[in-house]
Amino acid sequence: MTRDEATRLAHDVGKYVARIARNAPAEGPFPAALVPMLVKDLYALPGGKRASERFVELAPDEVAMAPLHAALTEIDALEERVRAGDDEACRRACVRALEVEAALRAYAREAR
Amino acid sequence: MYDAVVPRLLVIEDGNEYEEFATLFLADRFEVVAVHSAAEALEAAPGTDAMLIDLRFERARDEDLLGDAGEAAARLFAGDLERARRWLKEQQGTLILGALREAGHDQPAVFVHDFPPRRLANLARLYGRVGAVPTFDAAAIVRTLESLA
Repeated sequence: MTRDEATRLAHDVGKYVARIARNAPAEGPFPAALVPMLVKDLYALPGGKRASERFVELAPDEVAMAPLHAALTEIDALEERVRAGDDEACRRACVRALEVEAALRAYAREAR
Repeated sequence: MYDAVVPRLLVIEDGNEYEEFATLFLADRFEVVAVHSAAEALEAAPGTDAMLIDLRFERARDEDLLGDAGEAAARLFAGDLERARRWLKEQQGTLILGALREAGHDQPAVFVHDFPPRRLANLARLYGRVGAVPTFDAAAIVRTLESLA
């Protein structure tokens, strides 16, 4: 992955996909007030695209990207339940979003 | 931490993602004031106590950007105006912070960006109380602002 690719991915996907995931309370029911912004983080990033869409646009065709693609695909599969505020789905989407964020940040650091 | 009873946080960005985030997760600590250009930031800065700044202003209109693309092209990019415009957008947050510092606004400032340590040290050398957190982490942002206050 080039430095530009890694930087762009970390910014356009990694930075925004986990805004809610990183700050949601760890325990208790997933707060309904956070659901609209979680939906934006996952399905309407700045520019309006889903995180998975933007990832596919930007990610190089490398084996290392497959787990991240799988995580974002799982997040997409949870969409209906996330939009409905389903606690388990929101929590699971947050876990996967944090994995994506951490991995993309690590790639960006390696590529410097 | 701050002199003001309810400290005011100046949020500077090209979209509304920082404002949304600050309103949800920092509003118990700060009154949030959001602006979207250098001109708006310079107008709003007096009376604010801290700054949360986006680095990249890729959605900003060229006419709203701080900096001279022609000058940057000549100085940094061998006359390549397109690269210079892109650079202005990618670095707009630091350029706005520089303008705020020149105007005497020395509030603690935090970027949500994973700067390499040397780059962050250079920003601190140039602009004083500057910090960065790599992710939208509300607790880390508050800690960093407190450490700079």
